[in-house]
Amino acid sequence: IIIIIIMASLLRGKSGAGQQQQHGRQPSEQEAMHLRIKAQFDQAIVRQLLEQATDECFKTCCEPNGHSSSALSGGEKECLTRCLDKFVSAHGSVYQSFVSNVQEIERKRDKQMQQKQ
Amino acid sequence: TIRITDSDHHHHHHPIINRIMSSTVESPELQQYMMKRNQEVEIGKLICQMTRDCWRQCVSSVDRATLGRSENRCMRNCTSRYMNASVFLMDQMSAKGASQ
Repeated sequence: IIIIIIMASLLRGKSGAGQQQQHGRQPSEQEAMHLRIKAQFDQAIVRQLLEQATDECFKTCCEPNGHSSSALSGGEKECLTRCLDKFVSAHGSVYQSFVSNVQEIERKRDKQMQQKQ
Repeated sequence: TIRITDSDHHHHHHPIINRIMSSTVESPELQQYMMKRNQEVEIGKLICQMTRDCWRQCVSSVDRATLGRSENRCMRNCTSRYMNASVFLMDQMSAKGASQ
């Protein structure tokens, strides 16, 4: 129990501003910690997605115009917005494709196993 | 769960994991949970990387905020092909190991 309390406070210190603890229904300490850990990991994935979208979208929307000014034009901002939406959709397609491919691969594996027996 | 490419899964790069593992973790339940979460993160990262790589091959402009039909098809095919290539190479590599 003591270890769980220590780690929970460690995680509380690290978590972002959006994480509020529920004061209504009390989840078990372990559940609460699991949720915090999960949130950290989800944040990590979103962060990586954003990083990549930023790279690709900067390349597509800003680089072609040269860097004669420090500000973003209105057109560039619109492009960046569209690009982010599109990149997130692309990510969704990849995710769905990934899931169905994993199922397909495991199905083939199972068949291979059965044939060996 | 399936491993697509056998990345360095014995070294935990995620800072949260390092932080928690370094304080004495006695609960095997928690360790198992962390392993599972870690695996999910690795998969999440792989999906992000595939998104970036396939985006570079499939998407040339962002005139619209949505994927066109051929772009969508390209993204899906690109993902499937990458995964099939990965599994294929894994089998090749383990066949090399078995023959030696």
